[in-house]
Amino acid sequence: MGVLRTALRGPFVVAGAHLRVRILTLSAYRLVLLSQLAEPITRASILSFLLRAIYSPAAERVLPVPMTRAVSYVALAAFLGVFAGFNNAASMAERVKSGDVVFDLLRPWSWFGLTLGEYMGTRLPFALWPFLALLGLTLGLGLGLAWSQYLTLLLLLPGVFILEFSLSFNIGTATLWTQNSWGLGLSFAWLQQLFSGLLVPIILLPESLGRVAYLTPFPYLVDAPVRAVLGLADIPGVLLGQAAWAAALMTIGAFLHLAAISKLRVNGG
Amino acid sequence: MVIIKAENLSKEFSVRAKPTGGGLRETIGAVLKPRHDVIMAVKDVSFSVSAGEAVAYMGPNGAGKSTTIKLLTGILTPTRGAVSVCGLTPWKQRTRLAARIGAVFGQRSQLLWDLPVRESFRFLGTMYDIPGGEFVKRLNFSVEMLDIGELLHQPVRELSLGQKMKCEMAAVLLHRPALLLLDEPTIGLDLMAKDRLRDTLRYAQKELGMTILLASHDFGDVEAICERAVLLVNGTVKYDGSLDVLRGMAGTTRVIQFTLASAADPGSLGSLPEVDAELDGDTLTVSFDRDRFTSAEVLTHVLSRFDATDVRVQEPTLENAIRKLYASGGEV
Repeated sequence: MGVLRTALRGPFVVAGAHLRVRILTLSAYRLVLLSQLAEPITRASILSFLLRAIYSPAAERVLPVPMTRAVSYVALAAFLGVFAGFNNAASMAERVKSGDVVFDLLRPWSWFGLTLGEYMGTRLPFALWPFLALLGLTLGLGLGLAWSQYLTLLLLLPGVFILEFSLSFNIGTATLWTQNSWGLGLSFAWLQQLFSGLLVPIILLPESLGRVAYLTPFPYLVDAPVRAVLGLADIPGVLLGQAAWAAALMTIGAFLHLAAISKLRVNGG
Repeated sequence: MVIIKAENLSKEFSVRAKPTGGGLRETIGAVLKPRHDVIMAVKDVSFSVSAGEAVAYMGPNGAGKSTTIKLLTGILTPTRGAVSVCGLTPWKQRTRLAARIGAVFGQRSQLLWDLPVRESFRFLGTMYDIPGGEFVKRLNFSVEMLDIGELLHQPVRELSLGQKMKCEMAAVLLHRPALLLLDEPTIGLDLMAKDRLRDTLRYAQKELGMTILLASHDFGDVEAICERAVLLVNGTVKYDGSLDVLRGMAGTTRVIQFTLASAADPGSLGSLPEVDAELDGDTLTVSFDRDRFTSAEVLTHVLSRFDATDVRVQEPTLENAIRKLYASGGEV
C-alpha cells in the first residue's frame, strides 16, 4: 500500500519541483516566454490566411468542411501542436548524451515517475500561453467556439498530454540505449507532423494516407480531439483511442526501459 | 556493519569499432555492418567497506574508478559479479538505495544552471522529501560549514569552479546519506576551497557517521580524509589496505637536500657508505636508507664538511608509492 502511495505521489512531488523551477527559469527568459505566446498565434494566422487566400471565394464549394470549421481546425491544431513536440524526449536524450542522466538515476523515484513528473512540471506552464493564444485567435479570427466546445477541448486535453508523454517516454528511454535521439526524434517528429494533422488537416490528405494515419497514435494528439471539438467525431471514441494508445505505448516503454537501462553507458567521472 | 560489499564485480562495454581502412568502401561497410569491440572496464573487483570508514579508491586514468562508483550507485548494471550497498542490490533496488546514498561527480553538476543556488537546494529538498524545518536546519549547517551564505542568491552559472563544488557538496549532504561516493570532488579547486571540502568531509565522517568512498588523484584529499586505500589498475584491484602500509611501499629511501654556501665537490663527502650524493649547482642531494642511518647522523656528517644555508628533508611519500605501483602495472 505504501509503495503504491509513493508511486502515485512521486510524479506529483517531482512535478511540483519542476514546475517551480520552470516558472523561475521562464521568468528569467522573457523572450522565450513571448515567443511561446506568439508562435501558435503566428502559425495559425499564416495557415488560416493561406486557406482563405486559396479557397476563397470558392472555398465553400471546394473544402470538404465549411470554411469556418477549416479555420477553427487550423487554430485548434496550432493550439494542440504546442503540446506535441517531444521536447521532453529531447531533454532526456541530452542528459543521456551529456552523462547528467546519472543524477536522474540517483533520485529516490522510479525513472517513469521522475520523467512523468518532469513532463507535467515543465509542460504545465506551457499550457497557459496556448490558452491565451487560443483566446486571442478566438477574438481576432472570430472562431466563435461555444462553451461546450471549450469544455470538450479541456476534457480531451489530458489524453493529449498522456499520449504525448508516452511517445516522449519511449523515445527518451530508447536514448538510454542509442545515446542519441537525433534520428529517432526527427523521424518521429516528421511522422507526427504528417499524421497528427499538424501539417495538413488529415481530411485534406489522400484518403489512403488518412487511413494509415489512423493506424498510428498520432491523430489522437491533434486531429481526433479537434474533430471531436468541432463535432466531427464522437468524444468517447476519441477518449478510448487516446487511452488505448497510451496504455500500449506505456507497456512498450516499460519493456524498453528494462531492456535499455542495462545497456546504459556513462563515460567519465 | 558492512556498507559496501563487492564480489568479482565486472563490467564490459561494447563499443563500435572504427573502420580499419580510411577508404569509402570500409566506411560504407562500417555503416552497413558495424563491428563491435568489447572493453573490460572493471574486472573481478572485490572489496568491502564498513560503516563509518573513509576509503580512497585510487588508480590511473581509465582504471575503472568512475565505472565502479556508477555500479555501486546502480546507475550501471554489472556484466558479472555481485554487489551489496547499504544491504541493497544497487541496479535492482536503485530508487530505494538513492535515498541512502549521495554522489558527487567532480566533472558534472546537479545544480540548476540558470537559477540561484538556493533553488537547487529547494528542488533537492522536494525530491528527497525533506520536511521544511529539517531542511532549513541542514541547509544552515552546510551554509556555515562550507561558507556559502553569499552564494545562495547567485545563479549557478555565475559561480566559480570552487564555489560550485562547495554548493555541490552542500547539495549532496542535504538528505544525510549513509554513504558518500565521491568522484574527484576537488578537481581544479584552489587550496582554500580544497581545505573547506576536506574539513566538511571529515566532519561528515566523524560527526555525522557517514561512510566515504573517495575516488581521487589528489593525494592531499586521500591523506586528509581516508585511512585505507583500494588501488585499481586496468580494472583490477591491486592493493587493498592501510595508507601507512601503502606509503611504506615507497621504500625506505630518505632524501636530504642542502643548499650550499659555496662550491663543493660531493666526492669529499666520504666515510658514510651507501649514501648517494649528487651536486646540481649549489644544491647537494643526499639519499640514504633511513633504516641504516638517522637524519641526525647524516646532517652532522654533511654539515661538518660543507657550509649550508638551507636544509630540506623529504620522506618517502604516498605519491612515490603510488607512482611506483602504477609504473609496475600495480604489481605489489
